[in-house]
Amino acid sequence: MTMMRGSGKSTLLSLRDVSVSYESRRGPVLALEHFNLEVQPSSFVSVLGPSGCGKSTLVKLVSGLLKPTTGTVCFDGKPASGARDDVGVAFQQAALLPWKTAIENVLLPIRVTGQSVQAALPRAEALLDLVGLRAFRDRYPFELSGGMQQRVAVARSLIRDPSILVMDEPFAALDAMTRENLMIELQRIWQEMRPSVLFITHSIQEAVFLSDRVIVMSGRPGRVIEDVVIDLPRPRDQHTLGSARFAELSAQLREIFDRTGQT
Amino acid sequence: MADIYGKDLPRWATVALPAIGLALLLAVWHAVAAFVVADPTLLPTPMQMFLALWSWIAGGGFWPHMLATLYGTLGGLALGASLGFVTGVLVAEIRYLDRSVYPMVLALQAMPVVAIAPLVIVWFGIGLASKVALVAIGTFFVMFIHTVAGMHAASQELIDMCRAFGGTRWRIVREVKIKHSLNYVFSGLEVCAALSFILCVVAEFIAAPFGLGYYVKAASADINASGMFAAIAVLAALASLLALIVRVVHHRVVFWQFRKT
Amino acid sequence: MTTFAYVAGDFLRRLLPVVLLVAVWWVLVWALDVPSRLMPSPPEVGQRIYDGLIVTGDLWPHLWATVKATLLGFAAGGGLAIVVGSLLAMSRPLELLTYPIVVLIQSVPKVSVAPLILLWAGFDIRSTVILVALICFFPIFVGTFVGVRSAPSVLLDLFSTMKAGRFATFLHCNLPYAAGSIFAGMEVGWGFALVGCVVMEFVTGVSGAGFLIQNSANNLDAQTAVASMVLLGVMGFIGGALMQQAKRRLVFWEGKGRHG
Repeated sequence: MTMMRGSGKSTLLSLRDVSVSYESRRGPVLALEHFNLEVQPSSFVSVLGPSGCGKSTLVKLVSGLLKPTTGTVCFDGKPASGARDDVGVAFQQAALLPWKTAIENVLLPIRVTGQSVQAALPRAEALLDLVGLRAFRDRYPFELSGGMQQRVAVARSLIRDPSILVMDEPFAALDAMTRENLMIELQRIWQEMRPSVLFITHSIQEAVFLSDRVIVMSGRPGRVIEDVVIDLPRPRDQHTLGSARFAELSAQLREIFDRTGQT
Repeated sequence: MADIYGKDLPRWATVALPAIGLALLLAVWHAVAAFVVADPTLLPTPMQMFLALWSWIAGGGFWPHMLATLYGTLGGLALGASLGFVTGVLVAEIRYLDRSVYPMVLALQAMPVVAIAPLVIVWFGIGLASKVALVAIGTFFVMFIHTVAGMHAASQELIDMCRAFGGTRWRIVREVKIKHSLNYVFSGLEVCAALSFILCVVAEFIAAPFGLGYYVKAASADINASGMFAAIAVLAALASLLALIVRVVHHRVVFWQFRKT
Repeated sequence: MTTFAYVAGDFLRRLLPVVLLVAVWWVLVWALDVPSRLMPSPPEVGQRIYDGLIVTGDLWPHLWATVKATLLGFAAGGGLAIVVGSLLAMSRPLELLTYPIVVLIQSVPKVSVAPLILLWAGFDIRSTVILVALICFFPIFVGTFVGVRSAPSVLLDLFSTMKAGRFATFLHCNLPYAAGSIFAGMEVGWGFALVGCVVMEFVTGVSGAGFLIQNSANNLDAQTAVASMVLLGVMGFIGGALMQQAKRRLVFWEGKGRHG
């Protein structure tokens, strides 16, 4: 099920000179400033940055929950106007409906927009299979562990076959072992479906392991500091984690952080 | 954040909208009363209600009823709530009683306490005594249950405190315990504030020579809706005032519960 | 322990306070030599209940009248409360606009309006149903309002990214999240509903458990009065228990832990 989207060269998502400011009790706060970003089709881009640097604001911009104060957000060259069918989202919390089973949760985006659930059912089952939860299709969220819930959330984000997937620190709330497992899983899933991914994370390990490029952000107001290309061969697995090149790239990113005085 | 509730409103709207709502309410009320019903003995306009209240007070007939209800409500509340609190503390402290009496009282909760009103009147006769008794009984049970529940809730932290103090300073321990249960106690008091008016009014419905509730019932027989509205308005004002006082005291005494950390 | 033994033990454990209560009652009446017309003893009340339900059956019409009026009023008041609560919760402007009305309804002790309802609706079951609906409206309204607003904001964001409309979000997200709170409001509302019914029956004096208590107390027939009170307590208990069961079934996901 490997596919390439778009013409391969044209830009899927671009943010041009985007600034976002909002009102707070202490006055206007600038979350993002002169932010520029381009994401190609089928490419995996991580955004790495300290806490409070505006990563969540970025997620909201791309998923259509927020409009930029200045600058433009463009999909396929056209300015974005709110939420889109071709953007999938996964948050830090799995945010599953507790009264619906796993498969019903995966089908949620289909159901709420009034489309045919029946028609999408095979696709949902395939996605659950892809994330390794076929046996848990009829279980409720309270019967699933945190990691399993997050996998259902990932399957849900893929149900409408999005061209870009935005993931806001999806593994941050999980324990270290589960995080590592899911990181490897996500790589495998992505190989199958190849949407573009904008992956927000705290973790250098995740950024290096998963991405084609890593964008390093500054603290608030958020700006792009570096754009590091990750040239590790795909598919990646546990062996990649132990490789010399992996260690090099991780060290490089860590050095960027130390240099700019970030944690 | 998705603003699904429409919370993104300009500052002035949070004041203007309720004001408009109030104006609309009064306008519709007036319109219906003046033009649709057109009969103050069935539905007074807001103005007619105020005038009825004014002449009632000015005419002197107001005070006997007002005081009768006030004495009944506050007297019964003071009596019942204080007894309920003291009994609650005692029962919670004595494990033998806690195991036996508390569940018994909980079992009684299924029956609405208003149901005993006619019997209470048989016991205490027509007049102030039966009102105070009914209110006292009702508030007693509410306060008792809330106090015991509060003492139970405090117990967990107390065991640790006990150990820290070496278990000898029972006075401190007891004071901390009561302090911890105060939030429950005051919640109970808020319930009692509303309950006391309800019970007093019911007692006055059934058999009383004076009182705001009695007045409402009598005015109903006289087909005097203006008078009824006036009395109901006074009752609403009194009940709200008492609830407000209790709530303010609650927040003052148990201030730590409501501090934003 | 087998499931049966567990359930039976639980039932007996719950019954124990009631048994103790009856015992204490009996002892007090006997020891203080309370006359029957003021406070009957448990066996006398038991006898009256037996007579009233099984031998002559004269209590049934009144019990039925109370149950009918309370259920009708509860359904009407509760239904209205859920609709209004949902509407106001989903729209802050509407909430602000209707705020004065809500405050007004809350501040008036609902029972005091009973004679007014009588004046307008007459001396029949209609008045009782109206008062019951009025009195149980508020707790259910509050439960609905708080419940609807309690939907987690991350889920609301999710629905927004899925381009779900406001009504779809309400139906699929807010309303199910409100279910627990609505049921909590209904449990309180049921208790209030019985109060409203009994009070109106006191005032109209036609039929129902309230009428029974009032009438028999006036005739110094404390036996019937207390018997009716006990039966009223049973009605309150059954209603509350049914609602708890319904809540456990419908809101099945609440309070369930996760493993892993």
